[in-house]
Amino acid sequence: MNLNDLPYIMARCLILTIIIEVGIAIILGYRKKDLINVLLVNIMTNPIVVTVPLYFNVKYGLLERNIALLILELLTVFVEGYIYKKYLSKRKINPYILSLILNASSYLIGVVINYL
Amino acid sequence: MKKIFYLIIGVLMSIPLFVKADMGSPMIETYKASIKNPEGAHVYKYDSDRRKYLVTSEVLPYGKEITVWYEEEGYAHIEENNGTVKLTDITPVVKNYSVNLKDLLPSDSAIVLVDQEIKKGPAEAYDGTGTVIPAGTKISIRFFDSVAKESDHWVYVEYNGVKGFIDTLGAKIAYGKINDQQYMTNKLTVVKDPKTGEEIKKINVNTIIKGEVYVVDPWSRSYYLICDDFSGLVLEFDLAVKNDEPIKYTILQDMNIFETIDEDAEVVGTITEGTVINAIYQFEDKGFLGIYYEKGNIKGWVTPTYDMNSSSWHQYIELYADYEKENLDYYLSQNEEVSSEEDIYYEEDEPQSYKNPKETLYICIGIGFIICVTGGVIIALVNKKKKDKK
Repeated sequence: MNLNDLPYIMARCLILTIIIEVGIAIILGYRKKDLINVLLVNIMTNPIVVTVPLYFNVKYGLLERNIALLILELLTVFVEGYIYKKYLSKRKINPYILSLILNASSYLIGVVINYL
Repeated sequence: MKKIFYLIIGVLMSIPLFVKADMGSPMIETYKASIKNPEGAHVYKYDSDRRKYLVTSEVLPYGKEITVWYEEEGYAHIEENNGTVKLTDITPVVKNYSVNLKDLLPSDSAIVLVDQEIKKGPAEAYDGTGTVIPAGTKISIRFFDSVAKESDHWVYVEYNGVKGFIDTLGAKIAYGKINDQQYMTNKLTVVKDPKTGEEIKKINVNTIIKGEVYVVDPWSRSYYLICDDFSGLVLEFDLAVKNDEPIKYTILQDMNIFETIDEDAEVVGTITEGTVINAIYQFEDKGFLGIYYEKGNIKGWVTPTYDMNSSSWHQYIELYADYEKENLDYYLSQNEEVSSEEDIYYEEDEPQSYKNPKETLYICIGIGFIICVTGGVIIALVNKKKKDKK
């Protein structure tokens, strides 16, 4: 990976994440007003989750990068869950479970895409 | 819809089940054998601390049928109680092995390195034919194809009218002459006699190998060299491969240049952050990278794995290939004059402005935090608006 391409990589990751998470939210029955929140929440969290682990990777190593990624992903689940709890109008699923489902899906699908 | 969603998630999470690990160690298909020693066969267990086979009190009686998993160092690992017995104590149940030539891959020319008796079947336990192929003989060999799964390392041969099998394991045969490839030693390289294991010669570091290079069994990680004045075995780790075209790398952090790729090698120079290396020879193995670097009087190896004590060299060296002609003038202005034009490769385009990769990373992290804060504010505002409307 070329670090100078990082802005493009960030944009690509954000777009893919939004597509996957909004798509799954639609499948789960969420509609326009709530989808805007899903979109905004990912714009808020995704760039940090992409770039900060990379810093640990470059500065320290892969192990530290994986630890940082794990911590950030968990934090993201909680933060997004809190925002969903506060602002989502539809309460079909527990907001923290929803956040976990959306984040796990986007992570796993990302892994599959990389594997392919 | 929900069912489809859960089904997709289930399929995705089961993907690891279908990924098989590469075992990388020699195995043969199990075969039936019987105990041929009239006094029975002692069962051995392998002691990994002492690294030897220790005899147990258990004895398998004469004539007992057993299943052999694989053979190693004169012992047969058997299914029964996970022990081992000596190969000399057993005989395969199928005494007369019959090969199906369709199971064999096309011939490959080879050189026998150690005297080898042709066996009647593709395993140590099969009887010998009495015909020995002397060391130094050039011969054609045929491996089993992966579908037949008879053996990874026994090969079919015909010699002096006798047909049978010999074992490639243990650097007994050199085959698969490597054409169109050149090598350079990356350390003081010891050449050994395949028959005796004794040292024949030492080749100095940074010597380009002139001669023929053959593969021996992949598990011994060796090459067989035939040069004008000697022939013998060298370790694969001692040779760096010449790249078809020089591969360009950018150094991301100041590093040492070492005399060889050994972990305790002497430092002969330093290479600074931002330098572009034109890698003509390099050695790469399981995350380890060693690049030959020559500039002026300095000749040595850049080895980030040992230098930085890291299993991931990518954080210290980056493939330049993604760059076009970038920042060459910047590097030239920052570093010493290059002694030869071949040290640096560049195109005739206009130079573009230099971008330090780490600076890009820090800027992107900064942007990420700004977006995070801004995003949070926007979420709060958007939802406040919604509440007010209600």
